[in-house]
Amino acid sequence: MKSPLGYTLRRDIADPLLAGHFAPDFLELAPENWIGLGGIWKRKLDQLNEQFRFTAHGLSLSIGSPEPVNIEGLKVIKQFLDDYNIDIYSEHLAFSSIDNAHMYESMPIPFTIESLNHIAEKVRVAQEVLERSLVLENVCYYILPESDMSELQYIKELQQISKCGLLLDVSNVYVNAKNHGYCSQTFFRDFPFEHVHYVHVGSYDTNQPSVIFDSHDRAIDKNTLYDLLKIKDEIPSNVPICLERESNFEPLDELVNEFKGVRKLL
Amino acid sequence: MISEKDHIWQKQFARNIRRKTPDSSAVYQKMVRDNIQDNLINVYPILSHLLGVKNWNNLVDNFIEKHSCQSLVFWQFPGELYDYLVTGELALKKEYPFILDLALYEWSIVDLYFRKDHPAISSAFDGTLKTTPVFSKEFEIFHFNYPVFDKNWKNITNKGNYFLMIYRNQTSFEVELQQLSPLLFTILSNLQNPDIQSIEELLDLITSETNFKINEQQKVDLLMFLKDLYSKKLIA
Ligand SMILES: [Fe+2]
Repeated sequence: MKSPLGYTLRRDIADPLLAGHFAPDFLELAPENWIGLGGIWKRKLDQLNEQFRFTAHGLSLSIGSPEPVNIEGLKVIKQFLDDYNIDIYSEHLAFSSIDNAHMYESMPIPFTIESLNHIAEKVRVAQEVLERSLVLENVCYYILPESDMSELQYIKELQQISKCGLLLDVSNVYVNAKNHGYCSQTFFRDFPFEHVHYVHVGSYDTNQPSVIFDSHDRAIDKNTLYDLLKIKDEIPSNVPICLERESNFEPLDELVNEFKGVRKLL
Repeated sequence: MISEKDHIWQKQFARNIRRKTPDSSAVYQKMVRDNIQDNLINVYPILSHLLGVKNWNNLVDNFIEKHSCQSLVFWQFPGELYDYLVTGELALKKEYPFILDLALYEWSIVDLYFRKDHPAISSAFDGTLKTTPVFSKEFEIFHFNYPVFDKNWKNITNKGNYFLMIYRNQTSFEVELQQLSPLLFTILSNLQNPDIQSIEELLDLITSETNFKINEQQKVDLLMFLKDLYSKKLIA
């Protein structure tokens, strides 16, 4: 059976989705964009949930921060996941809050043995609260803190110790490889595909002089699609693949055509 | 346990981002700022416009540096700019005396549009002045010192007393505004006090405390107004 193919749910495309103009197999949303809503958006979200399965890609967990897990915050997220029948909850292998302040961005963590053990313990606590696997994503990092090991080694060890699921973001591998001067194929060659629960493909901005930015605002690059094709047989069957898009949803036809193209490719 | 070295690095990195320290965190400084800035501009279009680029950018920088955002939920964190303004930015408040009113007004419109459903679910109001209605939380009243709701921004510095009700329409789910008379504002703000047993009692109280005599026509108008709120499901 083929992997289900999903798309990011943002308010911008809620109406065409509800009207049936675009029909991904599932929708991925950030709980932090939808928690606590009433009014028209609660109704639209409920209607969408009748038509589509949801997956969740969180923003505020900050698994990589030095502080312990924010249990109260995670309980709010868990309630949301329960309310919308969401099984897959992924987060960024990064930190987004520290010193009692949210910064609303994924920031890099040092790939050290101590941070590995610290995060593994936080994963254990989080999974207990969530009553689900926590699925962690390889993020783009634009500077690398002093580390004991490579990102890949870190991910492998963290998975081993914490038994977390992995979200493989195929385009992030390309972005990091380009920005930090290594070969993405080496990363893929040793990646523990058997633990992949979920896959992202997104777009990036190559127009900046010295760095490639993960942007999610345009069509997916052919390099990413090429990488996806190369690794797709390594990924366990039925693992959902999500096309990530956060802005520039017009014209919708282009998104739909891109989506259909990726579907054909797989 | 995380090592002291990693902990210090993470703290310092975040601090450098928030303080815009010229260093290798520059890429993240821009990412954090752009994201927060976009969200704030969406919520405060008039405030950001009236302050001008320089003042607005300074305000955003100060907010990032000095205010520790608590909202886990993304659509709620812009409300913290108002909280920050309440206690900080004295010079800005002096230069733009309407800034607090305007920030509260713009945030309240967004908040009332998005916030959780909270219908009035009692059946206390029987259409007479003998009861007290229960209010929906999709409805708020405000006393502003500046006409921040005036479409003509040139009037915004006209200091005075402006009473407004902002609510979510229960059919269209759009946010709507209505100006209130001082008397209506007084009545509505006091009706939310749980010690008040009936509208009649409140009217007597207002008369005895303020020497303001409420005539029969005003009572008829008040009842009409409350029945309208009732039909809009803002009271029950
Ligand atoms: Fe991703």
